[in-house]
Amino acid sequence: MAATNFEWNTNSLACVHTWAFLRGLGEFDNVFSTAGDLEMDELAYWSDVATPALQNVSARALAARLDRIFVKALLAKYEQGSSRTSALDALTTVLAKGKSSVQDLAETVDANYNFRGELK
Amino acid sequence: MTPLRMTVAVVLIVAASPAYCAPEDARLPDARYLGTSPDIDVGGFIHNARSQPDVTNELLRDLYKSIALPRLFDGLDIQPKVFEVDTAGAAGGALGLAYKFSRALAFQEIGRFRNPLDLGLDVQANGNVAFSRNLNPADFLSTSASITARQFVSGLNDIAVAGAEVDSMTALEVAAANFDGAPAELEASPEWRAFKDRLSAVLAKAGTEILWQFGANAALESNQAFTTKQYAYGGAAGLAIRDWHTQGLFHIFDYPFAIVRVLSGAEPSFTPRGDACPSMLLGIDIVDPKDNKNRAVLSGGAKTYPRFRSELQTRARVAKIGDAIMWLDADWRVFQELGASDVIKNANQNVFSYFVATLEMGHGLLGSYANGRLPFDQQATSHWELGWQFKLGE
Repeated sequence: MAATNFEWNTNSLACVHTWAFLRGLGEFDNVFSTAGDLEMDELAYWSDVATPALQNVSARALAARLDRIFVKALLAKYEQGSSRTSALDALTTVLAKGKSSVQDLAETVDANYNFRGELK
Repeated sequence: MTPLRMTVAVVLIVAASPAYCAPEDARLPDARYLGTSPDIDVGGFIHNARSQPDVTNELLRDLYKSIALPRLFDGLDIQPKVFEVDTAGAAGGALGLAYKFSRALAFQEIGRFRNPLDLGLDVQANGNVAFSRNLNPADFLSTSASITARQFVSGLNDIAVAGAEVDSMTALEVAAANFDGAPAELEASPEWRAFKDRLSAVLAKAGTEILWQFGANAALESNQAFTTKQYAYGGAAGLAIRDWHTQGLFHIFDYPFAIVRVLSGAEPSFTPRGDACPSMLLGIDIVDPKDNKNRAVLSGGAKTYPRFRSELQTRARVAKIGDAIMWLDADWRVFQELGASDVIKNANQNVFSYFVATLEMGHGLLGSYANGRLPFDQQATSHWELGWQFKLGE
């Protein structure tokens, strides 16, 4: 889906944190190398049968959970021009779309959060 | 009326995909099947798609990647379907699709709370469309807009960690990400186990996390031909709960699935999880059935009426085959008119209930069972779907 130069690799803290916490939260079991291509409709929070209104509740809950983990447990700062609401909105947009990939999500995380130790 | 319908949800295929070289003996369907011709050989189509699921899914991936929809359609998911219906012994079939669309138009924090409170404006749509509309097993489309206040309540808002702790946790994550092996080997590796212990400590502080929301909405509900329509205005509340405690009340919902996981060998011991607690939506609407002729005939005019609606959904791991997780996904919707007249009750038009459950693994096998009816359906039906799924939309 992503038509940018963002790459899925272990040098990117956005990729590593996205993978580690989604896996740790039980969203999938994949190792890092195969997780980037996973799509949202393969993750635990996704439902093919729920209405979009209820699917959105699940997507927003996961977005909020990731945001709190990044900011509170990893001490990440929002990137310049980003805020909690804009970051949540961006994460939810990716999470609400079944064909978004985990790499797409990591790209969105990278655009909105500055992690400790991240090279800019 | 046949109470049980067998449907097959498979695929739309474009054999003209340049990335695909079909085997000579593979009678895969070609681009003609994308049309709405009533002469489609659905039986052959299904047979060929089912006999080569890997090829089918590869084709669909190529098809998906070749389609670039305008940004307007961000948030659109389309699932092509083939309905194979056995009615009174006469087999037939029709192509169709299920669609979902969801977009947030605005999002703003309101007030200053320990657990932040937000206000959002959203639009959503979903439905099931069959090219032969009389073969649509769930002929109900809904398009809505809502303004909603929501709050994510989590113990994570209260935690304080030191920078050194974050650095050591990050080091464990990087080591685990660089691990070379299968998922089961990673699970047993010291780096993942150490990370998991640290994560468990964080999540123990998160406790029971709740996302709740409440708001107002307006919706257009119709059948796929738009010959029957009605408008609904009201309020709705939503709730999603995830319990991170080792054991707790909300783990009860996962007990049946935990038993199946043990029996299937997916897990060595009975380990119920706190993530199978159903998410729910509850709402009360005022329904204006001014373009619902059936309703007007029954009630002697298109009078507005109050309606309660609810939706419960859960998704749980049930087994593991190789590295692939098998999921059970279930959803139950109820629409009930409040204070319905005897005429409406006697016509069995006061309560509509629809249940659907699917069994799926990634983009592979799909098994689905649905029972009940949605508003506008005159009678309840049951149908099965077997096959593969794929979604379109950029």
